[in-house]
Amino acid sequence: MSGREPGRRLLALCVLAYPRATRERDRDYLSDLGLDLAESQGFARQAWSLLGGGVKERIAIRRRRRPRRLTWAGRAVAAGLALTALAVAAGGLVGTATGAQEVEQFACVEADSSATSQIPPAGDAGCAATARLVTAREQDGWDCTARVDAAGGRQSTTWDCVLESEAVTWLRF
Amino acid sequence: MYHAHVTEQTLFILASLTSGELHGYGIARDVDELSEGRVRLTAGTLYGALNRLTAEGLVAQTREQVVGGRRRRYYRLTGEGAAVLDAEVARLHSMAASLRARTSVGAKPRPGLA
Repeated sequence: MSGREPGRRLLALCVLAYPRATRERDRDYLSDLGLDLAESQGFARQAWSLLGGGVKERIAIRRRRRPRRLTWAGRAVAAGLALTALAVAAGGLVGTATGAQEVEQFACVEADSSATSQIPPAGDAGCAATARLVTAREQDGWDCTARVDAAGGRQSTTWDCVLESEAVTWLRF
Repeated sequence: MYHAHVTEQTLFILASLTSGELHGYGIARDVDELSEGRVRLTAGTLYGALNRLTAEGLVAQTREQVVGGRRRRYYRLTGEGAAVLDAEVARLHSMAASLRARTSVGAKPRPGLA
């Protein structure tokens, strides 16, 4: 009988692989079944079998277990985290949109077309040069809007040019 | 109830209980003998299989007894278990007959597949 004690202890140890509920219910039965079968098949074989059976049962229980339901506090924290994440994401996008926009303004004044004798202001070759600059901007992808003001006998033209980054373009689409 | 997956172990456990109630160790010995040593049930496997079969209603635990200081649980085959065993044996018999007809010496090859 004493020769079986180490074997019994080994099997009792292997039974620990089973979930607590199973151990509480069937610990002695499992050990005794292992001892019975060990007489013809050996202790090592039963030990491995009990270890494997325990692990298998734990895995099966984990698979069957439903996902845990959140408490009210948990739900509040989850909702807060989700809102924060949304706010951060939205803020990031808005920041990208406003920060990526480049604005330039061009203006020129030319003499009244009726006063052909009037000398244009010094250093100003009329609006032609400015218009060429604006055209070049438009070719580079800028979006320019012209605003003409003819007050005081002189015609002034102002172009508001905006260049939007690819991120902004992507957002719009 | 139809049981799509009846493993060899399950089949032998059910077959071992056709002669009457047996305890776990007795089932393992009987299966060993019935399968000519091909199926050797260990403690973990047998415990899991008997629990599963009990949950499925194919076997039922009848009693627990302490013999020689060791606990033994006795099981019997239920009506459903017997029906599943019969159906599975019939299926295997039919499958074996079909395969035997095809593989037996002198069997004619099917036209177009020779």
